[in-house]
Amino acid sequence: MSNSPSFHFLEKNFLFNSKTILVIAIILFTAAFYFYGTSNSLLNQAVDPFTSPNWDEVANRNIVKNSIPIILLDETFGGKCLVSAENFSLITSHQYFLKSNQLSNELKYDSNEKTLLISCDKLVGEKSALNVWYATEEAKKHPTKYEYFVTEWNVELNEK
Amino acid sequence: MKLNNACKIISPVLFMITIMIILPAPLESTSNEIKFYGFAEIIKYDENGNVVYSQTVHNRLLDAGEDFINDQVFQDSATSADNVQVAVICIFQGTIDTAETETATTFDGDNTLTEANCKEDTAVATASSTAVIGPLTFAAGGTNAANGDTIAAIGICQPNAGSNADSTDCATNGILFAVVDTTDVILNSGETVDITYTFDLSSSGT
Repeated sequence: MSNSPSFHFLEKNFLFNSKTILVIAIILFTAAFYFYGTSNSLLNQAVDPFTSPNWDEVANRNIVKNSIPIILLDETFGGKCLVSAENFSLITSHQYFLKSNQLSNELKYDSNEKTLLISCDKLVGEKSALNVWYATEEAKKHPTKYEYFVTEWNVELNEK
Repeated sequence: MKLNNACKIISPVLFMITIMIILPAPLESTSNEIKFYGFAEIIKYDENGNVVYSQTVHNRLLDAGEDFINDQVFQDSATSADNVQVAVICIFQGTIDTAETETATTFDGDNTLTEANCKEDTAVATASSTAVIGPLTFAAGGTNAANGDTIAAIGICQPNAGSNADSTDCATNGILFAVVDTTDVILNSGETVDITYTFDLSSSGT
């Protein structure tokens, strides 16, 4: 595209050199970014598969929220902690969770030992809550995306 | 020379990105989307009363449920007394059919639970455009399911006009309003699940 006839036409007839054109491109890009934003743009749609889900943009009915207790077993190398997750399969087995294998791989789920590897920085004490949210396939924005996060195990909320 | 070439590459790329920023994505508008929805929260407790799992998942509002809403809101030949308005949660074992045409009869026919698997909330909470049934507690050991039974889905039903007691099926009571396909939760001896169903009619303008 940079060697296209139209580019040369601009250079020759309007005395634009490539640096001037670059400056104009930067100005237009900055103005477009500032005035239009990217939330509903074609650009946003193009990069959407590679971004984290924005739950505010997903209708509540298209979000499935799961939570299980996880218990610290051991600290391994590289800042990763081995945790017991007895009920992790309850999260991954649901038919709506299309990327469950991806999460299992990401957390190195051992289905025999029922353990996960999670960054030790994320844990809050010996017992924490692993929360997994995912968007269903029908979601207009961020379909099938998931996110996990660890929160404090709230004894009052989580135990009868 | 190298700078010139770099400019010739970067400029078109920037122009293209600028155009992609300006052009709106060909997405369906979400502003006209129907806002109301129903969802269930299921919380499983072990035999010591500790939470071992919780899930919040949306429902499938069935044709019968939509007709029921219209019958209740608008004056027509169909009437429903207060004691048969939607108030029951039934747990389900088997393969759930989430087609909109699912009925109480087919729901019961596919349900392999034989215990009193339906529970009524005699005081459904309605406030701020939402109705909340439950939380209702279901137990194994022959109460609402046998030990080792699996809850694979739940149904939201009308109650029995003549009794508030736990019942064995949805169709005896009346219509099946909605179904929720939950994760398969096994209930072993001493374990329980609390289930709450919320129907939310609130819109952004109210």
